[in-house]
Amino acid sequence: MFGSQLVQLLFLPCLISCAMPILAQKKTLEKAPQRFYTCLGTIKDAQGTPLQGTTVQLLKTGKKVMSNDSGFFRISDIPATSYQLQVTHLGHQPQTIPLNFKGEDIWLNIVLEDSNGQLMEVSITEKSKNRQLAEHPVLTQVVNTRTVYEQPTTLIELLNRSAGVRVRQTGGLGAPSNLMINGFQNRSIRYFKDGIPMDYLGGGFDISLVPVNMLERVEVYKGVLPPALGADALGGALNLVTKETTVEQLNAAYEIGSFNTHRASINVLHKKEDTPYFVGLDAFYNYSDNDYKADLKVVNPTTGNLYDIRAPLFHNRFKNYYAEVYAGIHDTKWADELRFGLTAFGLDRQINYGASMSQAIGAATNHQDALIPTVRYRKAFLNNRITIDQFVTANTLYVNQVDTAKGQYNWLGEFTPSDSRLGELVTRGSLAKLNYNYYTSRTHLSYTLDNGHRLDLNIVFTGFSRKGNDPFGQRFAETGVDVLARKATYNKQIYGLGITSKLLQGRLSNQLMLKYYRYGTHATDADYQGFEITHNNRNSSFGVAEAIKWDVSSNSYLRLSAETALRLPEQDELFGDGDRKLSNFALKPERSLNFNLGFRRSFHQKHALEINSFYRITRDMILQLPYNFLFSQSQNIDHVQGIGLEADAEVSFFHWLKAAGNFTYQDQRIYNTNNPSMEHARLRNTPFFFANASLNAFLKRILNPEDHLQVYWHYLFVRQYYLDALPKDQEPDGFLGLWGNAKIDAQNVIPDQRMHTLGFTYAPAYHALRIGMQVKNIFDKAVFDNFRIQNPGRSIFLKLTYSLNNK
Amino acid sequence: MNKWTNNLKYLVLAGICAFASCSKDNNTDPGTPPDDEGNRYVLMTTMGPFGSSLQGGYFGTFAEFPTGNISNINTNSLQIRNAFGFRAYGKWFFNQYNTQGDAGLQKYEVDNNTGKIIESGFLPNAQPSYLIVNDELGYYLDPERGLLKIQIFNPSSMQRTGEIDLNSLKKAGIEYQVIGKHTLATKEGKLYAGITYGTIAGEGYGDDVVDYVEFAVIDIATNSLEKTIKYEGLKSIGWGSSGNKMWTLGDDGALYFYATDLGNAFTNSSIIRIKQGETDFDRNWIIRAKDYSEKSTFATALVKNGKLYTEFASEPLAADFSNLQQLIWDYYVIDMNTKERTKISGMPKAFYAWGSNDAITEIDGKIYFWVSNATEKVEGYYELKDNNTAQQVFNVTDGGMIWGFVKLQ
Repeated sequence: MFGSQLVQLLFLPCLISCAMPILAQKKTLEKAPQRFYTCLGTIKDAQGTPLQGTTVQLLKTGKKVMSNDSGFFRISDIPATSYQLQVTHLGHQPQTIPLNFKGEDIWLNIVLEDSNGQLMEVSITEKSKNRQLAEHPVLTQVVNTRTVYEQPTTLIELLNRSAGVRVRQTGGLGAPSNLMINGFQNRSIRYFKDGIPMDYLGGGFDISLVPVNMLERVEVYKGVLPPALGADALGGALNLVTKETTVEQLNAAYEIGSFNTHRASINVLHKKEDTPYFVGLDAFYNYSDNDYKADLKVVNPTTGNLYDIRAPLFHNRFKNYYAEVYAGIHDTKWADELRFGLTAFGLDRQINYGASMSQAIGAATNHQDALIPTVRYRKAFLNNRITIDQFVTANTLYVNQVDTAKGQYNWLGEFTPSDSRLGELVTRGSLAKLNYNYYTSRTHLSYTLDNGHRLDLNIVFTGFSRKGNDPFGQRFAETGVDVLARKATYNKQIYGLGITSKLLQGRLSNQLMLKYYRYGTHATDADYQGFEITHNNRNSSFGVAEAIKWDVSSNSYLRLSAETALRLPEQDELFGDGDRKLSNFALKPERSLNFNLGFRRSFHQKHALEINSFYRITRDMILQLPYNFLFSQSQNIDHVQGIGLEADAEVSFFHWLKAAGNFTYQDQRIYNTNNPSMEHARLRNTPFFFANASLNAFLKRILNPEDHLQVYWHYLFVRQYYLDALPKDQEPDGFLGLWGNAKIDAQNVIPDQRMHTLGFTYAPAYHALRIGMQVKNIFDKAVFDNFRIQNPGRSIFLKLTYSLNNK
Repeated sequence: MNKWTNNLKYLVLAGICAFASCSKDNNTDPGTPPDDEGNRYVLMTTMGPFGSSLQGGYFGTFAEFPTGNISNINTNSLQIRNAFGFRAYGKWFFNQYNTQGDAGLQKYEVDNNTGKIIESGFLPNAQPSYLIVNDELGYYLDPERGLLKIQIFNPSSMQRTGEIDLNSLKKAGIEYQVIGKHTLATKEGKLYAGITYGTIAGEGYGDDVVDYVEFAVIDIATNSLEKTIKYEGLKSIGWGSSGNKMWTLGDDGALYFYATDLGNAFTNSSIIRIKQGETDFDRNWIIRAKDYSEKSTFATALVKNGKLYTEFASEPLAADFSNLQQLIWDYYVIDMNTKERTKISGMPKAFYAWGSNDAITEIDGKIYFWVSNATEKVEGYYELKDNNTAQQVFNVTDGGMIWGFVKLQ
């Protein structure tokens, strides 16, 4: 405990010290003879709806900003004199406002009147980056992290409020998570950071760790991936987009909450005027004891029976840090951006339970760390008709597993030595040290043709190798060599070629993509007697995707996409673990034929409705099966057919009150099982219905004429689902299975989940400080994302954010 | 370290077998079911073979002896997380996992009014080798309480009542020693607890470091150690991972133990016994698999009227187990005196008995054989008729592969 607090104490000054250059600059500015001011405020339409993406320009100064989702804007460091502030938003009449700074910052509440005669085709080009992405032919959902910067909301909670997306977490902060998009999950989903496959980051930038403040947005691709994202994703991808490095800024946040949770993050970017150089830091730190109370069972030492207790988890601490220091140049003759980064992260996890909370684990730990250099180069040529974007990294990820308790703990934290086991997770124990070497290169080229078509070529090369040792682990029979000591390598190349077209005066957008995948492995496995066998293997395959978007009217559009998606076998699926999991170099890639159809309509920028559906038919899903009565092996086995429907709606009741809601229903069933009891059973252990509702109230003049208060409420519902496949004719009778229980005694169910969250954000007048508070799981319900792994109950979090931007 | 012996302990995880798909219109000519007034029958099926993550299955109950095509998934069925064989005692039946899949001894009963299955007690960590002696007395190994201690419990209350400390049998220089992990058997007031001398890596599964089998003989009346008995030249009596206890009490009053030889490439699988009135092995009697089939193994037997019914592989078993779960098994009867073997006809090739304690079972004086043959769309039981022939009694069309069938008292 003392150690963790010490780390926090050390880390926070570190963050502050990192921020010092910017703070120092501010300080210097304030000490200058001339005083600088800030102009800030909100922009709304005549109906009181906040206007996002409004251009606010301080004429003759070069200072220009865009309003955020709340219609808020801020222009800082304005020397004391008179100005003209121009406010423009397409579809509305522009305003020019005179400003005269005399000893105080200026707060403006601007209302823009509607204008007639604006061409909506033009307005599309002015839409925010988020909106543009969301309206891409490829079905994309953009999760706007900016709107929750000031809230103590995790990225997982934010994603779970999105239609078609469900993240299941096995416990509290830092616990492993499983993302599901359109029914695909686990390895069918790929993760990117700024368009780069995230494998090289190990667990360092996991969605369960990254504070929302670190991100500009999250792009959720439901099905087809655009050419720029090179991955063998079977059912979608998540692209975490970090903050753009065009604006000098300082953003710092600190969060404290239940279970001794502390989260801190900082983004600092320093750019020197009139020079192409920039330097910055993105860093975050997470710490939590995760000692929330759960409903558990303990063995009575006398009777040997179990009895129920409600007790705190006692070996569930999680802490990690992540820091990327970067520097580079921008806007030079030979580089739009050349960025050198050095990322360091460390992750320490105590392990308190395994696949369920039936047995306490009290001593096992896991550690990861890495130092990762990166280089990124971007340049546009020929009047932006040709662009190149190159990223490269090579690094080693170190993983240590410690499992040497020589006994067992119970949920009271009591330890009983045992001569039957060396470890808790595995009876033989473990002191495994593994080194994972990664090499990732991503090249993206685009060429815009005269007729508006654009060609994209994307090449991703990923090299991976594993080597390590475990004094408690398996050894080859003949040589006695540690199985992990033999190097295993896996190389993967993914080539994507796409053409994007706009037809019919831009009303029809089309994207056609062709992808080529190939991989190679070199590994040493053991035969059934434990003798070494070295394997080399190569395979390749093609995939095709097509996406169309048709603007039905100025405020509605249709999207249709289809793809033959493919997922290559992973390294552990191919060459096993050298232990009881055998290699299978005959594995075929998983294949899926996916169709997506979506429609969106907005109503006077006040209301919006989006409906999306999908159909998938997946073959050769890779599952781990028993090879014989002793060994297991990954094999192509399962076939899944599914349809899904999701709807998302937003309504503005008043200019200060907004409601939103969505639901997702997915009917995914296995087929060709050769087992009547399993045929057309729902995909087991997979949520099939979930819904969200929220209310947001934007209030002002709370304690001061110029302050602001946002109050919000979120509700999440997840329908119960069964851990094991339930015969179709034994499913609950209710409409679409939404009510009732199974017709047989099926107790292994992840129960209905209903969770309420209430919070507020307070913005004091004229301050860059924001105060956010949130109560999660207000009614302290026992909630589960996974079978018998209880998630935290009611918890309270407080978050302070401080932001300074220069533009 | 030899990988296949090191890993034999994972048999617990590897019990999912090739399943049988049964056509609903498969016309079965039922044999003669017993008279069933007031009885209950329990059938366990598993949903395999979709992998280690699909070890789940069903307990189904039947008020009458099932005949014809049946489903094991009905309103009285209980879905369970782990289905890998089970056992019954009186009106109770036991699984080595609870409904949620936690390892331990789970007791179930059938509600006489509703026919539904009721959970009636759970002892966590109890190993599959548990033994029920009578309504008030049972034994099990809880490795967390000690590898050289046998736990005593009351099956009625399903509460632990004490333990027998056998640390006096600890042998120096043995890396891994455990008592009662693979075999706990009883006969004539004695408890026979198998002693395993193995390795930490192998955890006692097929990793014997001695060339004999040894049992502790415990007086049940006093729960005290009387002696140990040895049988030279054999390894691996029993295999404590499934519902199959791998021993049987013959109608001649003798205890018969199966040495599977799973950890020794099937070169010396045998059945040995302790005769009625004796407390040591009968060293003048042994059934060796190799005397009948090259490289086979014993996992099931029934002794009645001077005959031993068992299962033999029709081809040599591969040392890497690759054909162990193929449809290569036939049922035979061996004359206990002449040792002559006769095949039971009328059945297709069967599956390895492995996790089933009831692959060969006697119900109301009749002998039944379990046959799982996906190719022939057979998943059911055959009744032994005259002249060593058998006739199918029922066939499971829904529910998966059978892992046990019992009649409750």
